[in-house]
Amino acid sequence: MKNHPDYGRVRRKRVGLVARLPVMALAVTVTPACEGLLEVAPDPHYVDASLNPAQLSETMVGALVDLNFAYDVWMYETNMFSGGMVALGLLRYTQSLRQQDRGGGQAGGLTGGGRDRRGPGVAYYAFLQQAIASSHAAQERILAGEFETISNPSSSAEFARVSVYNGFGLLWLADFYCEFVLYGEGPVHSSRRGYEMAAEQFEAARAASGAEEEIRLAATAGLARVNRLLGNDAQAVQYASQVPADFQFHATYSTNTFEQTNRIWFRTWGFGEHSVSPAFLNLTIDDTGMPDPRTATVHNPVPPRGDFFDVHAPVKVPSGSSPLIITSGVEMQYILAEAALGMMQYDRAVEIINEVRAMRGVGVEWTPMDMMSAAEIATKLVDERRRTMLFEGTLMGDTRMYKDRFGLDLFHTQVPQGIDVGTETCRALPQREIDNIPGLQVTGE
Amino acid sequence: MTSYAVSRGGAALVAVAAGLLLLPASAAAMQAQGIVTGVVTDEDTQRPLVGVQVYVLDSQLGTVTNQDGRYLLNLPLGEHVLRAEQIGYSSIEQTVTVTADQATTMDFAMASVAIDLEEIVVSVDAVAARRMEFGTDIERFDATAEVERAAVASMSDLLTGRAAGVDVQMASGPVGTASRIRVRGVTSLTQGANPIIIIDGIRTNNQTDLGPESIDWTEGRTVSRLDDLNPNDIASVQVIKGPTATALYGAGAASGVILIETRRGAAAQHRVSINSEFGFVEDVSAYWDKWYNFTRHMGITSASDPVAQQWKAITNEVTGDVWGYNNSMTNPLTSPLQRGPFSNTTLSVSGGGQDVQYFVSGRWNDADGPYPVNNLQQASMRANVTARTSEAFEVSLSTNYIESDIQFPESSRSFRGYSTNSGAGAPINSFGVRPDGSRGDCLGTLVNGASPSTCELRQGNLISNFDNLNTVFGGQKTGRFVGSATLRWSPLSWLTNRAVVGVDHSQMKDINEFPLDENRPFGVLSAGYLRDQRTTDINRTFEYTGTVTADVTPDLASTTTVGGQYFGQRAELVACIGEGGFASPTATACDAALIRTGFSNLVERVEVGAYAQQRFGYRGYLFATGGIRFDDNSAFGVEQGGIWSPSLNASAVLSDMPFWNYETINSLRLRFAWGTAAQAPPPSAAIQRLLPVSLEVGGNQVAGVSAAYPGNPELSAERKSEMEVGVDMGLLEDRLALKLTYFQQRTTDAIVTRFLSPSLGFRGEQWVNVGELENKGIELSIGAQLINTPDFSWDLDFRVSTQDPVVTDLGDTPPLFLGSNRGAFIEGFPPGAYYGPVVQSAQRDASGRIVEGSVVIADGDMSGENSFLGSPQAGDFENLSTTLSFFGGRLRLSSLFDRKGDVKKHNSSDNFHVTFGRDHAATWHYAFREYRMTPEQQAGMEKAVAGEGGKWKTFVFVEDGSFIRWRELTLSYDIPSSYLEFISASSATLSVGGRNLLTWTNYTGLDPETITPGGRTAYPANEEFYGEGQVRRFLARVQLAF
Repeated sequence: MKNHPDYGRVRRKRVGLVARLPVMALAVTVTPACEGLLEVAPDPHYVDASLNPAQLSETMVGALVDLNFAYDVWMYETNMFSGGMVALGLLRYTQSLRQQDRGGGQAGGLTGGGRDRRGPGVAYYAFLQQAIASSHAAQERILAGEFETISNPSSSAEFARVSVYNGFGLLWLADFYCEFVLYGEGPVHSSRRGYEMAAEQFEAARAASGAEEEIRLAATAGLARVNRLLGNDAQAVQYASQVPADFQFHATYSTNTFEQTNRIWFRTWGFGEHSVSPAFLNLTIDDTGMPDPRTATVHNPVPPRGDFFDVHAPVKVPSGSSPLIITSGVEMQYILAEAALGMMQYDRAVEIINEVRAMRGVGVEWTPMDMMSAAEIATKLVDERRRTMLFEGTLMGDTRMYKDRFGLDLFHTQVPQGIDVGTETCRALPQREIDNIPGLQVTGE
Repeated sequence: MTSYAVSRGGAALVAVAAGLLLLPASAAAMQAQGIVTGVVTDEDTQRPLVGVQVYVLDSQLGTVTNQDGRYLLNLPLGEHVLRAEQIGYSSIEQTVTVTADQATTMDFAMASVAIDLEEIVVSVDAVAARRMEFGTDIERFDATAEVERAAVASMSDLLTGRAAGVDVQMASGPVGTASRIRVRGVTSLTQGANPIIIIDGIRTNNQTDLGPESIDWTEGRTVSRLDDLNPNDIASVQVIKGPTATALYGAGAASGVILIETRRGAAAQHRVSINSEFGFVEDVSAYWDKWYNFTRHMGITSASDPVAQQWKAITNEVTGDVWGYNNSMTNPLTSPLQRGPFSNTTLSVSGGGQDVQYFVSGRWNDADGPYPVNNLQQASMRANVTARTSEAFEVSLSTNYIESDIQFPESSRSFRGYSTNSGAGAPINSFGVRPDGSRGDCLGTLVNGASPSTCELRQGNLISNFDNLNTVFGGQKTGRFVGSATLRWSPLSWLTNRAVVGVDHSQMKDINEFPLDENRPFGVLSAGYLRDQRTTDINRTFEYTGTVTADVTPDLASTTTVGGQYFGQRAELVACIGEGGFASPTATACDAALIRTGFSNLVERVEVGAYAQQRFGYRGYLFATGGIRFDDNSAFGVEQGGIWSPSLNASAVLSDMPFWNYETINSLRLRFAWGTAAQAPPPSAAIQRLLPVSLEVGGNQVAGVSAAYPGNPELSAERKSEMEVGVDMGLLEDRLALKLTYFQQRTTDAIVTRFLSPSLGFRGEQWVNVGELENKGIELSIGAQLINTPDFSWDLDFRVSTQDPVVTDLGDTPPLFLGSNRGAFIEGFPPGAYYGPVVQSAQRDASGRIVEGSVVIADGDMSGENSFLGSPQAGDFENLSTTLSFFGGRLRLSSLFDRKGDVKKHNSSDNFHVTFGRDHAATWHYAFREYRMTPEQQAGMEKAVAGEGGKWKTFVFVEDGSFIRWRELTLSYDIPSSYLEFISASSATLSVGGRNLLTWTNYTGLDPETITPGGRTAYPANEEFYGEGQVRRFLARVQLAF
């Protein structure tokens, strides 16, 4: 038991108030001395925005990182949504985001899909928006002349590049969301308007005389895709024909995520809780019985869990650093093939199908049967496209376009346990936008 | 700061002490002295009292009684007033005359008191302050006595059930796991509610979210630095609640303060003590049975079928189906559970002379948990020295060095965790158990011809058998130094100065490791994974207090105190992650991996404060105190500046007033207190922050920035005001003590995170001040000496406390719905309230199916379709402790019961696993004994399974979390001294006891106390998701003194 050092009544003595005043005054005069003591080391994990405005290189890299990260997440989420991937038994609640959407919240949006009321669940929407905001901010800074090294802002290579970033961000957002807002304010835009805005960005990139060739081709390919989605087939063909068949515009894997690997690989090869969808498993070439290399998968050694699906990982994405294709000349070839079909140039369409097969390692050419109808060839073309373009960023848009324009519900995939995941093709404006933008009129266009 | 620097710091403290000791000898020593000695006993029982403080008034001279109740003092010749003080006894003063020719004897016979208003409590004053002078309730208990009395193994154990309003929330069962402490509930929506921990005058690390990070979820295995302390080193614990806490420590004290004082030596009492205990822990939780429908899958129609009997089949009385189960945690063929032995030994030496006292101790603690990969090893050394160079100057040094090594099973929510694997497993991957106890068939082979290797690999678990899970390593090694120096200088009789300086320096190494082994089914992790994280945490305290005491008039005493405090905290983290490509299981460094990632972080925070306090005491029975405090914090927004916090309290001891003439009521005090406090926002929350990013372009790494957090320059502290009124009463010759307190708290500018419009481009949320909370409750303590005779005594203590927190305002921020595990923050409801749609009524037919069209959904009383399902915070807490003493106190039996009531708990474990798999027992078989559901619950389950959202399961699995737990039972025996002569011991005590012996609860999950997130969430969550239950402990202890 310790000897308490504080005990004992001190012998009291009368001390006047005057003697006590200085002691009390000390307390109130020490205040100004506190400020110096409060200086602490800045958080090294972040940059204080007020102290360190980003330079040109940092801005460009930041915009690219945001784009790549958004694409990575978008690729995963849209494949879950449109049936390129499935989650396994225990994670069935994420097995289909369509199911989750439909089950939660009130009906809303242009397609009747449920409004996303989840707080953290708007993460992928937020990542897309960040990519768009990031590239938009870069554009504004360039045009405002904040970077001395850029002498002709609107013609600069940098402006062209971030315009392409902005365009693809808008394109992906429009693919996934029936309605959205931009930069924290109304109005609410429709998908169609989103595609149009994307096209404007791609045009701005092409108009920049200093644009790099890769950027110019990416913008051209983006215009082709957007116009196809808008139903402007002639323009789509015009742009698609300007992109070489061997062109590829890549994203790289994310560098500032908690996984630091691309999600397609992580979810299938790594974490092992997701699989390539049954709709893409064990596909063969025509009637040959030969496996289709374009959709080849590997059985993940993680054992099956009872009667749930095994994990099948895509050979196409063999590592966490595998570059994901944003757009490519192959995609353009399929646009040309569709156009050829539309003009009843069936031989040309078949020729393109086989050229793409050759480019993608399919060693067998397709020969249509005699008297095969245009519709049958079109069906074949659609099937070829979906196989080739798996995990190349077009499945989401295709799902919507084929349903909206042709009434085709090609990718409505039954998931294990026979759960119907619905047929909606896009999502409604997240509730968080409505909650945080006063007076927002949610009527759509 | 390196360990070398730590050693330098420690050496510096020792050098200061040595220097002080070499100062000219005290004035007292220069004078002629004489000896005063005597024995202090209990007036009623005549038993000697140990540890009584005997000191000379108006001086720092004093000592404590030894095991025989004897004291000895060397005093200057002449007349002195001696005072004897002990918690639970009325203080006595006697005048003694010291002569040089012979020792003077002065005995004290102390009367026990129900309420000790004279008890000295720690306060902001540099001089001693008595309990009666404060208008707020202060809980203080003798830690030494509690450790000797009960089966206490950690500081968490010591705090459980010993102070009204203090809720110790256990996270989970593995040894070394932290608990979360709440004082008067949650007072913040989002900020940490951990009370401040003061050890010997300095602020120390109060985090409860430390520990190794898992590759996925990280809950379940958290470490608290509070449990580094050796309970045997603790002299007293004082819990400061309410307004007094804020007056002492300002910003951050809104959640209360726990003051810990460690042991010091005593003059003329050189003593060697050995305290050794050993025992074992066991996990007696009801882990989950996983069921399988043999009729549906195999056509088996009889529970006696020899195949089905391998899984203990029974028949559903409603449907006639035959079901069997597997429970890999309890299956004798697979169970990883074990009895975990522990041993804990402390050796201490204390003593000293008149001017120097010391306490030195060393401890070795080795405890295995109930799982193969759970172990705690601790070694600690303490050296406390108090030196008095004169009557006016005293220095106290406290030094403590601790090393600990904790190993945990994988995080409870992880798919590589024990309980997750077992709870989410499937019988189809299990072997049956034959009647002779041998391994039976693989169910998967019987059902669909699966290879028996499937059962071999999983043995009923989700991913893998326990042998593979045992190879996953998660642990923390810590080296910690806590040192403080307290200087007291009283140059004048009416002026006392006190300065405290100290440091709490921890270096932690957290490891999460999956050794290379391609044969284990861990996916990419089988190629090896390592997370190696090194954290250095330094807390620095400096405090000065000056107190002037004076008599304004003969009846009016004045105490004026001014002071300042500085608290700095710096946490530095460096970590690496290595993935894949390890050459061998032993090549475990990060740079042995194929993929290497490194990162670091630094968080620094400073709080400064200054205060002034004026207290008046009228005739020793009326007291009034007013104070003002200024605080500033590096985390405040630039536009905020500092904050001012006033406080007031008053105390009236009616029983000491001249008019008092009621013999039945021995003491009666009324008290009142009001004060304000503040809780700082997280560091950097006010700043708009960009995230540095990088990218590989053309083989080169290039750097960039990305928008992260929007910041808020107007962000300020949360403000809390609290008022309490109370009465302390001693009755029936001080055999009955009653303390009643009513408190009311209001938090304004509560900090919440606002999710901005995502299209603004920020990923992170914005911290804003918008919320308001209110909380009120009562705290009642009743202590009774039912019987007190020389041969037998019986004491009883009962405490009950209530709380009722409510969110009263969220400003323009919409209600926050954070999911079924974190609850909602919505006006009019408790913070973190559970919510969900409710099936109001439903009907079920004879076959167990819900009648179509019979389901009625309740109107939501909370928001939209959501109804309030209950609060995760307990509304009431009760403790009952009792001690029976026999044979003059030589044999003692003590016990403690705990209760928490009016609380809901989310059984996320059953929520998660019960609806997966084909066999939806909960939905199809209401009468099935494992899932007895009401028609309403079943209807909700069916809606969830049909795809209408998991929200429909919340009201099913948010259960009554109330419980009563038989917390402690200890039997102690003091061996008569005649038996100890052969070992020359002065005393010896043998004890046997147990902890967490029995639980009574309606909660159907694992354990009503387990909180899966543990200390890793500030939210008032009360969720169990595949955690581990609280362990039961049995121990035997030997205490020897020489």
